[in-house]
Amino acid sequence: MTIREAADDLRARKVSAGELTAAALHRIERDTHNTFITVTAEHALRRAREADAELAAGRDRGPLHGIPIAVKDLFAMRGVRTTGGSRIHGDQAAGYDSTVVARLEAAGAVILGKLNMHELAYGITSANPYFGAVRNPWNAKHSPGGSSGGSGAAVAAGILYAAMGSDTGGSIRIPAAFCGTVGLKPTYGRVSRYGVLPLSYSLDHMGPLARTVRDAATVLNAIAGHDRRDDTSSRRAVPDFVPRDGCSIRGLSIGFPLNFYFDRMDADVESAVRGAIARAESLGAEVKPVAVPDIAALNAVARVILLAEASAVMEPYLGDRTKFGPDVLALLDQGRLIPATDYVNAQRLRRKMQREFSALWTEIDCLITPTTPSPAPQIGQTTVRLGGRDEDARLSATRLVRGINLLGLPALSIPCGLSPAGLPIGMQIAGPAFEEALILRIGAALEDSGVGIPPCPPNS
Amino acid sequence: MKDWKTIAKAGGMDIPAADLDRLTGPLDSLEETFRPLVKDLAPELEPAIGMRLEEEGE
Repeated sequence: MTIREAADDLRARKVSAGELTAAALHRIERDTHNTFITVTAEHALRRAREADAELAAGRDRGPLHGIPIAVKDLFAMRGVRTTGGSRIHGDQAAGYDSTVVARLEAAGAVILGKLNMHELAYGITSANPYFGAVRNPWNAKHSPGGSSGGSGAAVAAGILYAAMGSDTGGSIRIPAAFCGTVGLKPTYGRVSRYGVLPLSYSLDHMGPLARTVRDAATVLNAIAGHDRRDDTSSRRAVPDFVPRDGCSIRGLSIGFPLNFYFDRMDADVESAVRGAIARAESLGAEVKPVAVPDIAALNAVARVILLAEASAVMEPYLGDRTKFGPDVLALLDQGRLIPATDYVNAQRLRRKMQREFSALWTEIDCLITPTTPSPAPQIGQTTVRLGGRDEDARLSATRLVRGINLLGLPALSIPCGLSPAGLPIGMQIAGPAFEEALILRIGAALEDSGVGIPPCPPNS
Repeated sequence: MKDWKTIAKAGGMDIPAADLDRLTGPLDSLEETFRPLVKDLAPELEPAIGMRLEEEGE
């Protein structure tokens, strides 16, 4: 069931928010994928009762009213611990709500708790050393991706209607692709970062994972917009992001990358994404082959910035090395060795690359690529074999998505097929800054036309 | 390539030798891609970070 369907049932009095919430809490109790770190059952049931009372009194907060969702455990929620999937914060509870949590609750959403994630959002496996590995609902031996792995797995498993994630180098889009959900990384500045544990100040983006494109857009409607408590928050007007029923992509120019994005690619992923692009063409879009700027360079610059910023954030905690998992500690050590000159030059290169990339949008309306070069690796798998060579699993998973964070552009991952092993395949739709409505429309039109995958079977 | 171990030592970083050994490969690889990009940067190109003081009083 989607948010829209649940919302319709709520208003038709076929179900109550209390019943939706109790059912979701029951699913959490039976969860075998380790998706939650903290469940806020009492809070959620109270909010659900309030939502029902409001609807009965004629107060309707909109499509999220009474809908059970959850947030990655780096969003502050008043009175609830925020661990960031780490030991360094202990059980500290914030005395305030992050802007995202406050806006979701103002929209009537019922927050069920805090989702499991890769330690400190610094990795893509979500094999958390303290809270346990999140498992992929399509195959429990496989990784859900990360760092928003609990978010992706909980949505894919049908526990939640939607979940909030964060994306610094692909951490919304990778679990969306691996778990077969929709994942949206909005434009930098579109969604407030206030009250969210930072990993990399200039690369962190907050966005939803959901079962459908329109559900993701519905969540974005609730959380987008200027926030004076986030200095990088945009003052741009916020449109209605939800694509109309029967929306069209006729006449749009879709960029098909001639270089980089289809290099060293799993054949099933390539086939599924090419099939979706052909579907876009059949819907009236013009598919235009384009040469894209040097994405390997974008990725390198993004990594320099991430390494330096993340190590700066974590510097106060590095006195006790036992409080970090080995993979995160290795990255934090690398970041300490990045010279300040390299960080400044990376930010200068970033400006140059943003200018180069913006020229692309004079030729095309969006760019469609695979989200990841392969489906989800197994839990514990450190390399993937692509193009006849072994590649580091983390670098492989981030290879097609990280550069978009450097540019701050909006990007949507939607499922577009299943591998022969029954694992989801995702495709990425990237667009110009603040054009979330456009990429969501393209995603919805493809989804409406049948691009997608069936719901995840239970107990996979 | 840079001598990362010497840089770490000079910076007074308390990184165990075994951990240092694991860092050099990824940093060398990153350096290989990143270093050539920096060579042609024009001096007037400013970083993509900055303060917007006119908005602070709002």
